[in-house]
Amino acid sequence: MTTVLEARDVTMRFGDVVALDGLSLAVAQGEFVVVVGASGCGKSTLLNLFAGFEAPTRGEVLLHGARIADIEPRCGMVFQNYALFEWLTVAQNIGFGPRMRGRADPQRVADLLRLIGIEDFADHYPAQLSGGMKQRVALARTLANEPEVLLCDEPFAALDAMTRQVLQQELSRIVQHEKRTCVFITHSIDEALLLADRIVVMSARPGRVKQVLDNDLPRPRTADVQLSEYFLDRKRAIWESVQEEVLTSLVRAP
Amino acid sequence: MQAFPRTLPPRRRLLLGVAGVLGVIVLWWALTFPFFTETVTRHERVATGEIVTRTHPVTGETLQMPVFDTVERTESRHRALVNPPALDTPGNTLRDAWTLLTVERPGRPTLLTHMLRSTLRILLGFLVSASVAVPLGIAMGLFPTLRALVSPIISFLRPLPSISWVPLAMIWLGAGELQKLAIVFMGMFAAALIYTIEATIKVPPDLIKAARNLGASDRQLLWRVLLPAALPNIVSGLKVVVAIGWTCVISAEIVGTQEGLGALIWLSKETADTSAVLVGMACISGIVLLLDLATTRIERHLLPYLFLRERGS
Ligand SMILES: Nc1ncnc2c1ncn2[C@@H]1O[C@H](COP(=O)(O)OP(=O)(O)OP(=O)(O)O)[C@@H](O)[C@H]1O
Ligand SMILES: [Mg+2]
Repeated sequence: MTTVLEARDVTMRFGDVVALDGLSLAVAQGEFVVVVGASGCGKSTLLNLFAGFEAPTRGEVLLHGARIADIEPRCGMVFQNYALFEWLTVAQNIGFGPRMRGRADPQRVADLLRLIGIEDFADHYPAQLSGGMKQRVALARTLANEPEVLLCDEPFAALDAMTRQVLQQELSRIVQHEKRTCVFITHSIDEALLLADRIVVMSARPGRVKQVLDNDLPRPRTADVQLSEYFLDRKRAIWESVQEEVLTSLVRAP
Repeated sequence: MQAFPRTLPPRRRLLLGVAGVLGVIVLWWALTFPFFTETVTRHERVATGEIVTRTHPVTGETLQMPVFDTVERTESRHRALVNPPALDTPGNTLRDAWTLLTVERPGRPTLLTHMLRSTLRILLGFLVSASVAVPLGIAMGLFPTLRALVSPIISFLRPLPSISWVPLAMIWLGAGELQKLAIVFMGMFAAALIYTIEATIKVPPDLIKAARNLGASDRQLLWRVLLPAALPNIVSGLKVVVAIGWTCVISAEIVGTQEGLGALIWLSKETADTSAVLVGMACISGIVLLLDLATTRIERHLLPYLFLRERGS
């Protein structure tokens, strides 16, 4: 399999704080990688490097083998707090990226509206939507730009459990349907097991890759799969691995 | 039953509001109603009609002189708790307001002229200060270097009340329209600038990141994201600035003008014309309310997405 996105021995410092220390990670074409780790271990920092919002202090971040030097629209970001443009309608939000790049495509916008199931809200403003609908719009807005990689920073963390469940399944469906590569951050091990092809457990700060687990749970990951012995075993294994790091980070917390 | 309810039904709110206003008018009326009769005794010299003949002690002339007598006169007058010129009755004040509104005397423009003149001065001052402050404020919000450079000057200007600009404005610009404009401008400028800077800084960083990530160029980021995102806070800041404008224009009209509500108030003070002062003040409040209504209308038109929630759609 070809590597799309890669962090090579990446170190990131903010003044005295070492957020990432010699982290290496390669993401293959069409792969769904979920990153879990204690709060403050540098997950968002890693995603910001992938999107080109920041440059690493040391090491390299590569997209298709080329160094990411500037903000990289080919790595589309979905934010936890949606970051929707309040003054634009749902359809205008979704069409924002293509419009900025001079490639407005109403058909694609219509398709995406249908894909995420909010055709009826095309002319609504974000203020009129629920949290779950806002996150769907944000996802569609990022997809509209046809990114090579989808970067998601805890996109469902602010949603209620039921909405989250629905959106997890939809994301899974959409990513498979569109054959996207995806790097997804979460605090929820259930979410990780539900979505991932591969789960990366990060160490407490400074962030490194502590453990990589292949997640071979059968798809679609229905309620039955989620209640199976195998699922629970994996959950326990990941939880123990993460727990160590959470405790470490709590003891070391400033 | 909530101990501290947050809102009232609209009808109740309206009724209570009307009751409050009526209360003040009744109190005013009670204070100025002539309840008492006061008896005033005056002594007057009155000619009796008799003529006496006297010889002047020095010249020896013969003089014919009328005879005077002192007569006591009692007069009863109606008095209120508070009397003119301190305060006239609501009715008389209303009549004076009508006179001010309709009768034009030389050197005394009508109320409408006063109102128009002041509003014009404010709007002109507002246009000038906003068209400098808004672009500068946005630039200061975007560039920390510029912000660091200009901030100390703004900190110096901000606390100065508009009235403190009157002497300098007079020395430098005389007592004409330019001086008025300068005072209104200085009074509004710092506030408009600060509101704009705040609004620009407050644009959520994630919006900027999102726009960048979606491929927006610097220009597009500025025009398509930063400005629209900052606009609601800039507009609500400018609404406050227009209200500040009134304190400025009243300061500006202390001297060198016969026209404007400020001039009306200051000049009426000289003649202890309480009614005119009150009418002038009421006009200011009225115009501020009207301007606020108008700007809210414009706001609803320009930024419809801000008003979706309250419509409950
Ligand atoms: N711009 C910055 N300036 C200074 N320090 C930063 C900056 N960004 C992140 N950090 C620090 O780097 C460390 C990692 O931050 P990061 O946001 O990547 O953690 P995270 O794993 O995403 O945490 P969470 O799960 O709470 O979102 C933290 O200690 C944080 O304080
Ligand atoms: Mg984070």
